Amino acid sequence: MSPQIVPWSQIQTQIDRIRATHRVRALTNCFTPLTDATDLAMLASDTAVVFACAETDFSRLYYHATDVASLAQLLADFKSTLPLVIGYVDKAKNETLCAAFRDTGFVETAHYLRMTNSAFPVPDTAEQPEFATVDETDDVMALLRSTFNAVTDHLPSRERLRSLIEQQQVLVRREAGQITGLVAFQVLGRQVNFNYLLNRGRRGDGSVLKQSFFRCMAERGLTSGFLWVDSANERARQIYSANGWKADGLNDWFYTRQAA
Amino acid sequence: MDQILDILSKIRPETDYSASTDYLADGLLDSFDIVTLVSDLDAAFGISIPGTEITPERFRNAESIAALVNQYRNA
Repeated sequence: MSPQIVPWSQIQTQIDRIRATHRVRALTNCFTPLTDATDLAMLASDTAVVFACAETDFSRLYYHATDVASLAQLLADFKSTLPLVIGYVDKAKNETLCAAFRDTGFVETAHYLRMTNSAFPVPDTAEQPEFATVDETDDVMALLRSTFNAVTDHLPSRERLRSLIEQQQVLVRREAGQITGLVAFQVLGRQVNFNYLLNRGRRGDGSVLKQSFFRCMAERGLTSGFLWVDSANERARQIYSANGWKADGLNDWFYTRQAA
Repeated sequence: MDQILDILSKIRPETDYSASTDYLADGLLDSFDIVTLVSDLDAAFGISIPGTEITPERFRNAESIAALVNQYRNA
């Protein structure tokens, strides 16, 4: 069955219709409206909707369903020329849902943990934080794309990245005028999402960037935040733990299906 | 209002919602929680909150959530 290309508003209407008819706690991985997305591909039934949003070289699948069987039927029917990535966020693994993913050709590829920190350490640096400039947007984008996993790390679009840079939410280290390391974050009210940390410069610059981040947070009166870390990356988890971050029990599982 | 606080406490049992007037800014509620909360409000009050109403300002605190619920209970 071929999905239909529709605007977000049509998907929203379909979700509202399902919710109005079936007042149950839905299965969903769609937590924010995709109002800016174009070319969303949707497949729907009376009890479920599945839709794909194309990213770099794959499509990310979102769903809203009253039950696993309805979702599994749409996943089985959903044809795509691009690899599909689907996931879900929950405190505990839903084995029935995982079985539905596996039965419809998806393979688990990653598992991330959310870590929170409610008392950032006092920054140990007197250096003024350096921020990326709008002119460096493409350089930052290239560094992010070559360092992080587009599937699991939810890389920002160029427009989103530019907006973060304009809001001074990308800290950098430079050597000979070139960016060699960065921290990108997103302020959400009185807490911050610590998104990306990379260092290709001098040994120790990663620590300097972390201290710059904490200094920047202290200057903005922010003392708490969260991040997502690959559960298989033991070293990263240990480093974050040493800096006061603790797993809060929320998980993000990723599944991938190759193109038909 | 008590029923709303009861629903909230089931989503995050460790959280004291009475100490905050802005759940989102204070990190007591995030987008994942809001999706669960909307389903629970729909079921508990026999309403259907439209997706277009699922915006951060409608879930800022118990008062704004109560206003949202009442809007659709009376609709």
